[in-house]
Amino acid sequence: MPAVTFEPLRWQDAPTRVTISTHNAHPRVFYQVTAPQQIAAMVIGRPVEELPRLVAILGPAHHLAAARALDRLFGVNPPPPAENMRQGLLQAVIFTAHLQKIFFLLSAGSDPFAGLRRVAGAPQQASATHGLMDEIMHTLALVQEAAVVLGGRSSHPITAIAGGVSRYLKEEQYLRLTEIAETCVPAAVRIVAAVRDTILNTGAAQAPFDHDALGPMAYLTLAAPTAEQSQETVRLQAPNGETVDRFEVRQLLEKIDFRQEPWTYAPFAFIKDQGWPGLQSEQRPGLYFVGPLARLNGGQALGTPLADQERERLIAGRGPFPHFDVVAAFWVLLVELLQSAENMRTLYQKENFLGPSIRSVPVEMGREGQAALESPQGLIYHHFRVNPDGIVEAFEVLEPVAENNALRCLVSQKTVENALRQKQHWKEIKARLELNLLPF
Amino acid sequence: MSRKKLALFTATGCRTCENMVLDIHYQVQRLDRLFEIVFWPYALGSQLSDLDDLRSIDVCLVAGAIRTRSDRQAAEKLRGKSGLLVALGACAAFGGMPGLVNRSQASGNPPSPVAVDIDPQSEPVLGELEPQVAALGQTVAVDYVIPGCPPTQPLVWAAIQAALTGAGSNTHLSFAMSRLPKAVAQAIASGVLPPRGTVFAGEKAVCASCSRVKQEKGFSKVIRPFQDYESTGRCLLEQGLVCQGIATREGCGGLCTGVGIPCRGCFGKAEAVYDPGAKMVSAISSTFQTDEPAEIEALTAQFHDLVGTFYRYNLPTECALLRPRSRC
Repeated sequence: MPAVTFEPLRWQDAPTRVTISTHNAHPRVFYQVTAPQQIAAMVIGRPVEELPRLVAILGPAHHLAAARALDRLFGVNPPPPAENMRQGLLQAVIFTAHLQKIFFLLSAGSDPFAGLRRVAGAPQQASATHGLMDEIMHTLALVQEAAVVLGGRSSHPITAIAGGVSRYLKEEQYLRLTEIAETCVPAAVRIVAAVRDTILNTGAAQAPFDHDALGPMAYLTLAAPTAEQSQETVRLQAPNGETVDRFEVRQLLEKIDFRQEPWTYAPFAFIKDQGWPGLQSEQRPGLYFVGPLARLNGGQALGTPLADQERERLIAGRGPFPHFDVVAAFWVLLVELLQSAENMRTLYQKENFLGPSIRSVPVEMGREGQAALESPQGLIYHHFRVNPDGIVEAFEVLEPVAENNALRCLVSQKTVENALRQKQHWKEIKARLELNLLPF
Repeated sequence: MSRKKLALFTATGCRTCENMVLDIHYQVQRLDRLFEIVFWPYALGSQLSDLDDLRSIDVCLVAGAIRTRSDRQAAEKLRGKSGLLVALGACAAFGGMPGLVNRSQASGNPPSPVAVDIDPQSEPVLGELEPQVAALGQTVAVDYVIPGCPPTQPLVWAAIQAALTGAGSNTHLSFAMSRLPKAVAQAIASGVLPPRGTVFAGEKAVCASCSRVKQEKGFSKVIRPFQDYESTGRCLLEQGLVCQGIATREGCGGLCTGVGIPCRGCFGKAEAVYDPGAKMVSAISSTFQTDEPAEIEALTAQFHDLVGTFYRYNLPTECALLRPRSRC
């Protein structure tokens, strides 16, 4: 097959390549994950209490999701201090993940280690960006320190266990967390303003992104309990924002199915009832995506004032939700960055981490555990079954690699088509592709 | 001092090791002043095909396990062009958690979820998997190892500086020496690189740097981490939790045990340990406080998944019964 291959792709967490088939006038673009994940093969046969630690290799949010699933397995609820520590860790994880993407965005046009940095689409901003990059690295270091305090480690956390967390914090750690949160909010405000004003909200910089709009697609999010439903539910929304399905978390794998294509190791998640539509059609019933853009596409006001102001600015600059383009996808990262900073400021108070207990010790074990969580990259779901000794017999995970696989393929296709139409060189096409995939 | 050429690459892994290099924070922006980064797909967008044009690399850090043929080919190319090849993190060093897949495959699970009926005229062919997950050292010769899942930031930075700057800068040396094993630090201070195969971490076991109090009591029951155990500073193993600090190389500073979580051995076996699983069985069983066969049997029946626990990060390389040839 005559083809051009970009391997590997910059900034992608999974090992990936893009292959562009050029054997006829219409290019076909394949976004390929080039190694299998095989997480089930790693965890089946292990004692169930090891799951939070094992699945942390998928990302720190999976550690928390697995701990939550263990709570369900053992029928226990973490005491408030433990729940707050877990929530505090999740906010740090979201902040870190989004800020790292912003770091990548800012360094997109250059070597991130070079002295002079060039902002994508705005090279004249180089000197201003230099200080911004320093502030980003400094802020990242601070939030990772908070994650270490709360999770034991920042990348592969370890402290969330069945029924709570493994230890109390110390006096100096309470104070340090408060200090970090107080520093992060103004830092986030400065970073967000700089990125918004120099990249996202300038006519010149928007142009290369705008043509690469994804196009309408359904989206799936975790919805907070409502007056009608006391439990968390999963909400499927049509591209026009209409809620087309709302169901309990435990029904997720009844509603979602997976399609395995022979040219990639990552499966494609799709809505089971609507069937697999393929990746060629302009019509996309059955496909969905998850992540920050999906969460903001819901259109609800946010409970944190700075983040909600930024959301309003996004609406003023880009129009009302829902959005399906790359600029909006980057902009919602800014909104959630502020939201997580504000949440950290609320949570990182000593009184939130104090209490008579940090752990509800399990007294009996069920046979199944399941839990969902909104990770920085989108909705994740864990489900497992254990034998009477608590050894994992079956493990299923729903995560953004599969859920956004179709989205990444479609973004890749659209980007390459647009770039070829504009007669860009392959090197430029690769850079554009990587940038367009970055926020998802 | 002329800048030396640095390369970073992750085979099959989770990117955390690469992020640990990015996460050296303030120093990361100094990397460019000290070193010329010539190949780093994740951060710079380098392509595998760029390797063909690279004449030489001074130091190459490779993370991740060898899972695919493409991983193997990249490792071989990087080995051929690199003066020093460093295995970064538990996956590259020992096979890591992906190495557990080998046990799953041995149990009859299929190695690949992907069908083979593909039309190569219309769709790209996917790279083949290696028969088993392997460590970098089982594929090519490795000069140094930075262990950990993930390696700690001070160790990563110390190792990069030590390997790249040699004795070129007192500042860098003092930083490296404060964090590296004495023998390694002395070698670097003498202006020579440590011997091939050196592990940039401690030599003793994690217990040597664990802050928990040991009372030399016997092992009388197995406690699983979901069960109730003391939240005091007492040794976890003595409480009955299976903690591998006794068989694991120090260097992390007792990160996990410090927060009340048992060690699972991500720094690999300690220098004096031949097989970490055998060491753990020996260490635990020698403290059983009974000679009665029935009681011993009842006690041992409480242990579960010894292979998946004792070889969590190193099944492909450090299990003596499975240990293949290592070129390290």
